[in-house]
Amino acid sequence: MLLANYIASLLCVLNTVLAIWPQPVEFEHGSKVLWLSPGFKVHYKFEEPAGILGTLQSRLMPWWYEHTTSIVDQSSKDILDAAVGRMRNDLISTSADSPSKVFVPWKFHPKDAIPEPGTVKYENIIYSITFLFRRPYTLQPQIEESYSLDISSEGHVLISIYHPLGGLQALTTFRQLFYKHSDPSEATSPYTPYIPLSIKDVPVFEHRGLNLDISRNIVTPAEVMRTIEALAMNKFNRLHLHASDAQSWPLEIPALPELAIKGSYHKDQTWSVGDLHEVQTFGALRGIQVYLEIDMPGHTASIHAAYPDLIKSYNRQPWPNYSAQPCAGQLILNNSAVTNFVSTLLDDLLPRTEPFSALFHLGGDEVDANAYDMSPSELAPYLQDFVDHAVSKVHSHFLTPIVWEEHILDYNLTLPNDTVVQAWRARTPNGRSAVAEVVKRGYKALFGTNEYWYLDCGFGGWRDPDLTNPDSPVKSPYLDYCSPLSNWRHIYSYDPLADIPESQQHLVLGGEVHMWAEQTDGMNLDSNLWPRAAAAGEILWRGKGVVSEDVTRRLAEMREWLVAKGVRAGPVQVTWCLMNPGNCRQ
Amino acid sequence: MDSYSIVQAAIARTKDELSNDNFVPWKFHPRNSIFEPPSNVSYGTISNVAIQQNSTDPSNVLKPLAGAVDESYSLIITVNGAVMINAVSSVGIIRALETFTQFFYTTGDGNSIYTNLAPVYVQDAPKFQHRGLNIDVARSPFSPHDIMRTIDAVAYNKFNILHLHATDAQSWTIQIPALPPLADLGAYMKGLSYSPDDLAAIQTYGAYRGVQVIIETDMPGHTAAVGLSYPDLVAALNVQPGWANYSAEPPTGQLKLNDSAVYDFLEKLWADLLPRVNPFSAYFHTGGDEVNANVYGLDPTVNSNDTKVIQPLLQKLVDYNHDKVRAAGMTPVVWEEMLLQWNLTLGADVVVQTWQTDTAVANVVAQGHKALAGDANYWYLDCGRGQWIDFAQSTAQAAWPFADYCTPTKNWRLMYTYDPLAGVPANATQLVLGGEVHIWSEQVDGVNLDDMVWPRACAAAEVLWSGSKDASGQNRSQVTASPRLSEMRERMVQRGIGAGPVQMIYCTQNGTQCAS
Repeated sequence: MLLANYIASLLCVLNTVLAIWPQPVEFEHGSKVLWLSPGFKVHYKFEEPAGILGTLQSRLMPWWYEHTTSIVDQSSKDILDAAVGRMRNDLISTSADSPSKVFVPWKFHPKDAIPEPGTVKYENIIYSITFLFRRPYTLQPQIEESYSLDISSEGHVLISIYHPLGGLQALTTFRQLFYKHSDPSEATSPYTPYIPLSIKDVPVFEHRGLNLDISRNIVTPAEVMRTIEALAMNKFNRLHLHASDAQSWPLEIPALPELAIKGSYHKDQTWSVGDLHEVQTFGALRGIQVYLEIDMPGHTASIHAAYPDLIKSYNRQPWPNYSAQPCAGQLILNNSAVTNFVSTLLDDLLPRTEPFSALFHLGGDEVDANAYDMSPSELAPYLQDFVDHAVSKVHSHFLTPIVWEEHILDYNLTLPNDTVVQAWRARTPNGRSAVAEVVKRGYKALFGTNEYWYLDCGFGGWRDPDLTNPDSPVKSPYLDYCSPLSNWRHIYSYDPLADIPESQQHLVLGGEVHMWAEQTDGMNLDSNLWPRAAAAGEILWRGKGVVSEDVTRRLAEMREWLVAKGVRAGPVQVTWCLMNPGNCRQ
Repeated sequence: MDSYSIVQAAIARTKDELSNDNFVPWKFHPRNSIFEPPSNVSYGTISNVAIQQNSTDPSNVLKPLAGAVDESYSLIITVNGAVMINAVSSVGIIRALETFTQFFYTTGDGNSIYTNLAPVYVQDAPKFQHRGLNIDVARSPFSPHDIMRTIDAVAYNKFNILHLHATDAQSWTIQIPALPPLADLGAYMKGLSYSPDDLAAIQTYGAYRGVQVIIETDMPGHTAAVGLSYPDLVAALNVQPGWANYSAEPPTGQLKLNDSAVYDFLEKLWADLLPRVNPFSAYFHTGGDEVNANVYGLDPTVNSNDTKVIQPLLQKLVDYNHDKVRAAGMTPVVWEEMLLQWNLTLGADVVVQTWQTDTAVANVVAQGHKALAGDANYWYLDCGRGQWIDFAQSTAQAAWPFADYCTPTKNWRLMYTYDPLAGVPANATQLVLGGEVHIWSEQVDGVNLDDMVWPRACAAAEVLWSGSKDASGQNRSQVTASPRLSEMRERMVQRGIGAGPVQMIYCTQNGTQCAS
C-alpha cells in the first residue's frame, strides 16, 4: 500500500527513449549535452542531520532484516564512496592502458550520424554529484532501493535516497547516461545527451535474483565476481549460489574437511572460506546479497566421496529410476549420523554467510522416494523431520530458510511461515503454476519457471546413448528436456503474476532466473547468461513487460555496456537494424 | 611462402602448443585418482621427430582444388620415443603434427609433457576433400583477429576451408580500391572493413595452416549494402514497410538485372578483387541464394516478376561472373538456388553449395554437378536462438514464443549424425566434394563467436574427415565421440578458443555413467 502510494505520487511518465536498462519507473529528459568532469566531486547531505545520521553511518548490513548483524564494517558513505570510485574508473579514461568502459554509440544511429556534441564548453560540465539522504519513513525493501536522480541544465546532480542501496542503484543508472565521443581527443571524459533529466525509480519486486549452479561444472570465484558486476548493472540484488549437487561439492567446510577435498571435481578447484568471503563481500558492496544453497536431501551423491555411510542408493542403477540425472544418491533420513552431519555443516557455514545475507537455501528439489524404497506418502514424515531439523538450524542462526517447491507441493510438508518457497515448475497437475500453488498455501514465493527462465534449456541433451538399452531415450534430434532455448523475448514475455489472485500477490517476493551448469562453465558462462538474463532483470525491476523495438534497442545498449565492462554477451540484434530504427519490424 | 616455410611454421606451432597450451587431463579420470605415469619408472623420451615428405608439393599446394593436394599422413610413436611422420604433401605434415599434439598431456606439476598411448600407429586420410566453415562476416562485425582465431580453431579440427561470406544486404566488408565508396559507405562504419592488406593477411594466415580462405560476394540478392554507395545499381532498395515481400530479411535490394551500369560495376569489382584473391584461393563464391522475383517487378530494367523473364537475365549475369572468375584462374561456387530453383546452365567446373533440404545434395549430383553438403536442419550453427526481428504489439502474440525459422538449436549430437552422402547414389558420391558448417551472424559477433561455433563445429569436422558412418556402415558412435569431443574442447580452451563444455565433468570422469 505504502509502495503504491509512493509510486502514485511520482511524475507522469514521458514516453521517450532513454536507453536505461532496466527502464526507470518514471523519467523525463531534454536533449542538452553535459560532459562529466574527470575530477568530479561527491558531496553528502542529510535531510535530518541529528539522530538519523547515526543510523545512516551504521553498518551496511543488515539491509533490512533487523536480526542480522554485520561484519561489513563500512559506513554508508564509505560504501557510496567506493561505488563512485568504481564508476569513475569505468567512465573516465585515465590513460591508454586503462581505457574507459564507455562506448561510442555508433550502432544506434544511422551511419555517420551519431548526434555527437562539439568541443567541451566550460558551462557544460558536471563537476559534482550530491547525495541527499532522506529521512527513512519505512523499512520496506523496495523503498530502500528507490532513488531519484536529477541533473539540471547547469550540471547539478542530485541523488535522493533513503539507504545506500538506493545510492548504488542511482549510480548504476547515472553511469548508463554517458557515452564516449568518437574523437579520441574528446574521449577522456564522457558526455550525456539527456539533460535536463529527472528520474524516479523503485523496483517492483524486492527479490531479484540469478540462481547460478557452481556444482555441475566449474565456475571460479573470479567468474562469479564478473557475473556479480553484470548483475549489478542490471539492478539484480540477489545471487543464489547453488553450491552443491550430486556431481560435485566445491565448497570447503573446515569442520568437515574431507567434504570438498574428496567431493569436489578436483582438490584445487574448491571454494575456500576466503573465496566465499571475498565473493560475498564483492556482492554486498554492489548491492547484491550472495546467498548459498546446500541442496538436500536429494542431489547429494557428492557427499558419498567423503562420507559414504550417509548416502542411500548411491550410484544405484539404472539411475533414471532413482534420480533425474546421474549420480543417484540421497542423504539417509531418520539417521542420527546424518542429523549430526547436517548440524556440523550448517553450524560451520551459516555463521560465515550470515553477515552477507538473511537467506539460506536448504534445497529440497527432486527428492526421489524410490531411492528410499518408499512411496512419497511413506517418505513424507521422515522428510518432515529432516527439514524441521535443518530449518531449526537456519533459524538458530537468525536466517530465513528457502526451500524448493517440492517440499510443500509434492510432499505436503508443513514449514514455518517465514519460509520462502522457490517455485520452478510451470504447471502443477491442477493446471496452475507452481507459484500460484505456493502462495495459495500462504507461503512466500519466488518465481522463475523452467518454461521461461531456465537459461540452460535448448542446447540439446548431454546424455550419451546407452548402447545396451534398445529403448534409449537419447535419440535424434537429441533435444533436452526443456527445449527450445528461451530467447530473450520469450524470457521478457513471462508474466509471473498471471494466475495469482491480487490478494495473494504480496506473498510473491520476486523471482530468479536460473543457470544450471550441465553444459556451462566459465568459458561460456557470459554468453549463456547475457544478454538473456538482462531481460529477466527488467521484468524483476518493472513487472510484466511487452516486447517492442524500444525494448530491443535498450537491451542492445545494455549489451554494449556489458561488453565494454568485459562481459562476453552476444548481440541482441543485427547491427543494421539498430542503425535503421523501424526497419526490422514485422 | 614455400613448402619449407609452411612446414617450419607448423613445427614451431606444434612446439608452442605442446609446451604452452597443453593441459592436465584430470577431467578424464575418476576424481582424486592417480592417473599420471609413476615417476619411479624410466620411460622412452622423444627427442627427435622425423618428418618425411614423400613427394614434392604441387605448385598449387596453398590453394588446391578439392583433392588436388594429398592430406594423408602416417604417424608412428614407438615406446622408445622414436617418432616418424610421413606425408605426401606439406599439408599432410600439418595434419600429422596436429594429430601428434593431441597425444600429449602435461603432468600435474607442470614439468613434463607425456603421452601414455605409445606405441602409436596412425594411418590417416580425409574422407572428404572440401571441409569448411562458412562464417558470415557481413551481418555483424568481425575483426581480422576474430577470423584468424577462428582459422586456428578450424585447423585444429582439420577443416581445410574457411568460407568468408563477406558481403550481404546489411554491410559490405571488403575494401575495393577501384570502387572506394563501396566499403567506405557500405561497411557498418568507415574502417569496419577488410583492407587489401587485411584480406591478404587473413588468407596467408590460413594458407600457413592448410586452410584455404574462400571469399563470397553474394549476388544478385543480398546486395542492399551496394545501394549505400551505388543506389542506382540496386532495385527495390530497402522497401519499407513490406520488406517481407522482397527478401527474407531487411533490408531489401538486389542488383538490377538488365543494366549495363551493373556490368560496368562488376567489371571493376572483379578486376580489382579477383587477382588479389587468386594467390590464395582456387575457388571464388559468387553467391546466388534467395533471389527474390518480386524485386524485379520493381526493377525498371526488368519490370517483371515472371521467372521466365528473369531466368535468362540471371543466366547472363551468372555466366558473366563465372567467366570472370575462370579468367582470373579460379573455379566458381554458387548457392544451390541457381541450379535447383532457377535451372541455370552452369559450367561443369562449378561447385554447387546446398543448404535447404535433405534432398538438395542428391538433386545437384543427379544433374552431374559437384556439390557441397551442409543442410540447415543439421549444420546451421545459428539456429535456435530466437527471432531477431521486432514485433509490433499486434503481431507479438502470434509470434510467441519468438522461435526462429530453423529452431531448435542444432546440438553436436545431431550434427554428428548428418551424412553428406545421404540419398546420393554410390556412382555419384565422387561428386560430393564435402561440405560446410554454417554460422550466420544475425545474433553473433566477435564477442560470442567462439561459443556459437565451438565445440559444435568439431562434430561436423569429424564427419567431414572421417565420414558419418563407421567401418560397419553404422552411424559413428556418440559414446566414443563424446569424451573425445570433451577432450578436444579442453585443448581448444587452452589454445585460446572460448568453447563451452560438452558435458558435466562428472560424466567425463566416470566413463559411461551418463548414458541412458
